[in-house]
Amino acid sequence: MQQQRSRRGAILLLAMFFSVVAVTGALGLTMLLPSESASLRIARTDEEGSRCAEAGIRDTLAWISYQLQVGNEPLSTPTLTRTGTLDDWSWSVEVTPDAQTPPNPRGGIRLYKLVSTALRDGKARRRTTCWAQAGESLSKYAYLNNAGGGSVWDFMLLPGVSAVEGPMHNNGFFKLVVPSSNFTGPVQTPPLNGRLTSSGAFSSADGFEYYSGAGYSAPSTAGDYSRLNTLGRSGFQAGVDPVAFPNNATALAEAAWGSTPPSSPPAGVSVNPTGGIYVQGDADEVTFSVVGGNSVITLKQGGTTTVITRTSDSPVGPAPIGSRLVQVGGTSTVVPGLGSGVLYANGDILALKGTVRGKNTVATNFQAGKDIEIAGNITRADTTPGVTPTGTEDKLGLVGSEIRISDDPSKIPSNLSTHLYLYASMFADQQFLVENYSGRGLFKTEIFGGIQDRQVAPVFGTFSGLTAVSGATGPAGNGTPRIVADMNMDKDPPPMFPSSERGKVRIRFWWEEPVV
Amino acid sequence: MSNRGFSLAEVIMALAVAAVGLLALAGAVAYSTRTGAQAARQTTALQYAKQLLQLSKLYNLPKVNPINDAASARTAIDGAPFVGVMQPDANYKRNLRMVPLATSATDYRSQLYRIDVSVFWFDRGREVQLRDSALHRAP
Repeated sequence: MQQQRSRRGAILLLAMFFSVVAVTGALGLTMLLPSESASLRIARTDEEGSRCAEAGIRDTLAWISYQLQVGNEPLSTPTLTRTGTLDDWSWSVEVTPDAQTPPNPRGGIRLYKLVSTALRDGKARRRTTCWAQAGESLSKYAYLNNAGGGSVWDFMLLPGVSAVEGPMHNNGFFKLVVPSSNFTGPVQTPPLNGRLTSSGAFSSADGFEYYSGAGYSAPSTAGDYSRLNTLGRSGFQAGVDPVAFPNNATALAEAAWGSTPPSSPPAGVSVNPTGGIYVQGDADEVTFSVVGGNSVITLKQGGTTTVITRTSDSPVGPAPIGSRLVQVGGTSTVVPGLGSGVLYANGDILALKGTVRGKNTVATNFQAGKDIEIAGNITRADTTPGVTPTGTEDKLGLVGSEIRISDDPSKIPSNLSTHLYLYASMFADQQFLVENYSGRGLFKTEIFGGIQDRQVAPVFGTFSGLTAVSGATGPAGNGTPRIVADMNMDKDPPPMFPSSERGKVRIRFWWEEPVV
Repeated sequence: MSNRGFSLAEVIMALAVAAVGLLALAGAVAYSTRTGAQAARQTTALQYAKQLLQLSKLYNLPKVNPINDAASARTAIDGAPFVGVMQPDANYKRNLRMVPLATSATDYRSQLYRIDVSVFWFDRGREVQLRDSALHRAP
């Protein structure tokens, strides 16, 4: 009997045990649910808070940009707080300029720190910190044009042949010539590698105009965009802030003279202790070279040759390190200091070539229509020709009304079979072009730096119908340049190279965090 | 022999006790599965809303090609201009609106646009909506 009673109790105990286990499991599951929905709620709150903090930053950037466009310094006091709302959230942004903004001695570039806090029910939930830069050196662009949308097409994009690498911007809208072969057949290296932005927008899905003749087409799918640009569809953005262009070369003339030049500067070449090199009139030839690690500039004007050695690496004759030796005929003069790096001519520069050492800008009086003609390779001492530069020691900026690749066969042979290398950022107030581009020999122009035109897009060649390039025909001709931006030009441009001071505001740093 | 088994009453009582626990567990599993699925759908919708906002800003759509769907419009989540960029998903639809904050060029807010995105899906035969908003400044 005792054994039977214990067996009867056992089944009940077993049932109760399983029941308790099941109820416990059920309770456990039920208790997990609130934490799951709480996670979702937190995720939504984070997302909304993040959007609200970002809204504060965007509003403040628009305000700063507008103030600069209308000529106001945005901050008359050291810090400023702006507030606003987004739905049932509110934001508060504290704006602090960096120590040198304003006034800013770095070519008009301003920096602001923005800290945006998103609040809900009066409690801070999310914070975003951002550094914004207003103004930028034009030398950062592989390609920059102020007059897009005219009759000239910006780029002829041949798959596997032409290439533009780096930021590209047009203050109008971009006009691209894309052969249909870009979008068919084996995948090749995309002709573009960088973001194209335009301030205007063509009436198309992406705001860009594509040549529509037979044999040419526009990208329509994500795959098409990826064949055109390594960044894919995200590499095309229309409707962005315009980039302001300079109106004159006054700042460059002052940097060459050391102060405001006299109304009638002395004839010939002046090497100024507090400035750079000032040339009155045309310069027949300017050649850069490197001797003993020093930069040497040989300047011919009329029958006079002036040789200026910048003793950055080794002393030369009576010139110690850190000075300039100026030799004219048999006469030598030592000028203290390495100078501003700016060579300015108020006339044309009729031939320019050579290998640069150090930081240099060669400029002409572009508002008076003075040009620069390229008469051979322009390379730099720290980079093997054909290789993308990575160093910051050597660089060259060119600033002129027109910047032309000469068609004089005594300067550049018409049967040149190798590439022409140009290591420079080139600002042309009118146009960059290849002289006689429709009727000259074949060579490919490789530019490591960039082209910035105000009036007309750069012209390397022409195209017509299905013929890819006429004049400089085919994939080896001038019509297929390779332009590669020197990314160091963004932070460390050539001396006094033109910069966009107003309106353009971009984000240099972004950090988001929850407020605990 | 009869001493070795359980009586009917014993078995019924044991089954009743076990049934209470099992029913509770089954109910909890069903409820948790349903709620978990709802949460998963909401999470997916949140991700879609976030993607749509980011792409709209990246393409600068509010300024270049603004989309202003009617309130009743339901578009495929990967519909133009996001074909091939967003994953197609027949379970979700979208509604987008992009409105400038100001039209006067002398108002700094003319650079700013409000983007409202709604993502729709059906849950047990009922349409559910998730809304997200952002402020965009033409870069």
